[in-house]
Amino acid sequence: MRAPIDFVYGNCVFAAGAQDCWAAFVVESATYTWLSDEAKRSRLLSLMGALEALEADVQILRVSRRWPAHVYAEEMSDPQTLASAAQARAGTRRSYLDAHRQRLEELDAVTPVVFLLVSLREPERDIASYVSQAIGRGPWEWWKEVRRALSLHDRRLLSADELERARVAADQVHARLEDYLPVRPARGVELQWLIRRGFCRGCGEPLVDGLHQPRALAFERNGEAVLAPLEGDVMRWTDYQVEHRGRSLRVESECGVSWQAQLVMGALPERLQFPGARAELMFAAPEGLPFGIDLSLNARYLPNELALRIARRRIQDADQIVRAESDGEQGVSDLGYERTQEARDLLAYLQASSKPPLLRSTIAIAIGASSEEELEARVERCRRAYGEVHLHRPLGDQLQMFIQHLPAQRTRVAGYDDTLTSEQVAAMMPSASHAVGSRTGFYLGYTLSGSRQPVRFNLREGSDRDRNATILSVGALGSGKTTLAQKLQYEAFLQGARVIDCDPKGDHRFHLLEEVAPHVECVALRPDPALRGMLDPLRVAPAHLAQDAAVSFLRDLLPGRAAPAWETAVVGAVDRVMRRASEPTCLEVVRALKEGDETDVQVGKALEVYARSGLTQLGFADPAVKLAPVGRQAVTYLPIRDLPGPQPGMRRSEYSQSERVGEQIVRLIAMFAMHLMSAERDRLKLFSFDEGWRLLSDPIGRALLASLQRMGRSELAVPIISTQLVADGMIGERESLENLVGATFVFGMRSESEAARALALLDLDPADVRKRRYLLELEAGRCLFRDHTGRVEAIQVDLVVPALIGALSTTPVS
Amino acid sequence: MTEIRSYRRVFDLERRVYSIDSLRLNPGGVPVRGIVYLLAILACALVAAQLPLIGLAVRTLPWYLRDLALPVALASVLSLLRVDGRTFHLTARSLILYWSGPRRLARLQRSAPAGFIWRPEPIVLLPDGSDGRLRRLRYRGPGAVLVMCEHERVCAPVVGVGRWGGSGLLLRANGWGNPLNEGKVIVLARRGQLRVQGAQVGRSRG
Repeated sequence: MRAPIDFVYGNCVFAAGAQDCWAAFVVESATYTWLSDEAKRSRLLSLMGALEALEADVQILRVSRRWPAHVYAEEMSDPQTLASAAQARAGTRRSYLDAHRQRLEELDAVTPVVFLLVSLREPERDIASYVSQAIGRGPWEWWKEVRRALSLHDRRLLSADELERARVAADQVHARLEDYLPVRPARGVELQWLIRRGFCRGCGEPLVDGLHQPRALAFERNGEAVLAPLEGDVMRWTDYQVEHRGRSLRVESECGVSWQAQLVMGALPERLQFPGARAELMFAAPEGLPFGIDLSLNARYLPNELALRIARRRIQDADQIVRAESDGEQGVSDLGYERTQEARDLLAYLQASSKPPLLRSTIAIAIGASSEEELEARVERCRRAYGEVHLHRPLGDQLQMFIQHLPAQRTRVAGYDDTLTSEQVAAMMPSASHAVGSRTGFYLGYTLSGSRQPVRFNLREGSDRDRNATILSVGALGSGKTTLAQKLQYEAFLQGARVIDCDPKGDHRFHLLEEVAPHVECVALRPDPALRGMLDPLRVAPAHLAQDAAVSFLRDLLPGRAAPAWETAVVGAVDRVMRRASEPTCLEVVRALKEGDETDVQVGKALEVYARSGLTQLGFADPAVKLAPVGRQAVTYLPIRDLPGPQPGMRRSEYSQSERVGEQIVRLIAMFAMHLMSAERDRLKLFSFDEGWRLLSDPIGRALLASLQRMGRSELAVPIISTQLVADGMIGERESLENLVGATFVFGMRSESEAARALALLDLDPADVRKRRYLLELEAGRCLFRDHTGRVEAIQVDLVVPALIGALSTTPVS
Repeated sequence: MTEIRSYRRVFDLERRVYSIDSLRLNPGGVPVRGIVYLLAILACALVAAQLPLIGLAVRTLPWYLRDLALPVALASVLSLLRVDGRTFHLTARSLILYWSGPRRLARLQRSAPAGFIWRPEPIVLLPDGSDGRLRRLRYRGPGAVLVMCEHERVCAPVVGVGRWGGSGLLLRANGWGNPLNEGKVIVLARRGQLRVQGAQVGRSRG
């Protein structure tokens, strides 16, 4: 048997000699399921465009790469990447990562990698096209062709010119592809992995160090530089023992014995709806399986002129059959009649102005397992996943089909090819995936697909990638948003971050964890004279917001029907205090008012009441009184219970006095958090705030959040805003939210309207009934996750460690 | 929603013969493939009849069974048969290749049987001129050749060199091929040919 690959040079793969060169590319896979129909169609058109623009035979390989659990653990425990505070918690972190690694190994997840190989050889045409092309070439080209055909020299020899021509052609193909798809040339190490992994299928991943590259012997022949590829170099990549057992292969690989079955798709459905799982044959079914399978689509390009000729011949054939049937006693069959119509439809399709080609394709599936029994079970599951599309397992052709899965191969098994339109091939969505989350960071959970792909989340992604840092978590009571917030807090703590946890409901348990408790300072915000001035806006607000924040706070404390002169008095007093006092406070403002004219005195008296009582006293600091320092510990826990708040959706003008006070306190807490977080610029800081709708539905709250956001980018601060309500104001201001929120988690909802609003928040279609129902049916801990780059996927948040699950649960245990 | 159509039925048609001249064969027609199978079976039957042992058995059958009924029946069955979704001849081809091909492979090549010892092919060594004798070689220009031993030059046709042969320079060792004090450089034009006749034994350098 001839070696399937002779030589690899950059991304050029020489299959059967120098004349059969292919350019290999890696297609970036992208999340797909939660795209809008329009976006899915756009993806279809891009792929169609690429296939038609290539005008060459193609091979699409969608292979599964095992998720590297050990690499994750090593990467996350690398001491060089950790802050000094995190190194102090190295023990806890190590045990946490061990649990993660164990879970990831249990998941045995795989991620898809998509390769696109394009033949650099002219596609095979019919004789008429061939002759017309030959005439265009001229005698010198003919002579070269004849010489090449009759040459007695070894055909594996490659002149330097030919190699250069192949490289240039590969670059041209890349330029053509780039207009349609996110592709990059495959590296030699990736091609080596692609070949070697085929032998380890179902057992593990080969260890590819990337140090070995195929070489060629360069010499001079008749004044021309010639290369003789060292065949053994590529052969080394296939150095495995393969036993052909009729309907399966047994491969002795470096990862153990791999049992493999090669399947091939039979007839595809006649009519399909796109988008839809039935059409997405290279995405929906493989992603629905709990194990990885490899798919290979080997397509021969039939140019439009050739396709037209074939279609015309088929019309004649179909008509002839109909005529013959009509002469018989039973008359024309339905199939015969429909075939004539379809043949004419095909002709009309091919005569369209875009001059579409046809692709004679075979779609093969390779399944691997570590034992024969497991292989049979997997084959059965795979067949069930494909449903109406029959998967054949050809006897005696397993080896040929195995080779068909190697790069730069054409269809090797006859009888299974189907002539497809580029639309059909594109609709298979080979590059679709469930990719979501960050490239680095802790394991967050897994996608709710059959393949259960692990999702990572990096709290620093917003600042690292210069995107919004804020994390928004929305969901009904008990849906899992508080647990998520606490998980993120815990991971931030393990990373050595400064954590500020504001808990209006008093159900957070993060600060009680055994390893966290010694690093916690608890500042219970309650009407306590000892805490008076803790939230004074003139002390805690950023310098540029301090005056406005103080005026807003004091003005909202005034009676609803206060005269405009009162507001002017407040503004004047704040201004005076800020100019004259070295450490201005709101109590100073009250004192300044009491020293003023009659109106000022009245205002001062009214405010003095608030400065001495209730929660509002937290906003009036006495410069003479020194409060206990806050922010010395890694975790600051701020419980504040029974904070008065308006009903969601209520107009601001209708707020009662206590509701206005509540709103002001929320703002003060946000400013206090900013104040605490501004202390250490280079340290990761996390501010977790429940009841986030109060901030997000209020313009001033959003302005505060915007400040936090800016701080997030430049000073590594990450606000986590959790809310059980998606207020109308939030949706109405979605564009401004776009500039605020980085990642969004939408947990289960309890009403249709809430679900619709949550979908709008994710930039999904709120009118989509199916998606709304999905949100209503989401179980606790499951959510739709929109990452920093806008990709949406349904995921299960995974706490992994049983002790942590029990400790962080917000549901009381009886 | 976009409807995506498959034109499989247009391409997946089976050629059938419905009538020969005015004679109708059968309502559904006879597949061309079946006719080809019939012809192949008949050819096989003819060959089998000539074989020593099988032929004896075949010849015992009456002609209408041997040359008509059995081949027709077998061809009909084979044309209906689909194994693994493929027609009989494609399956048969795969099976023959499988049964005749290697079951165990290494590096995707036929694996050597147990106990086989690999011996390398004769290894070609290219001399760099540092050994003690003039070696037989052919060289085609352009280029320059440095000759470091006593030699004799003959301007003669060099047969078999180049695509059509042609004139060239023949170089052979003179006497023992003693080393020269100064080497002689022979410059060869494009397509100029040099043929060196090897010395049997000597201490010369070339």
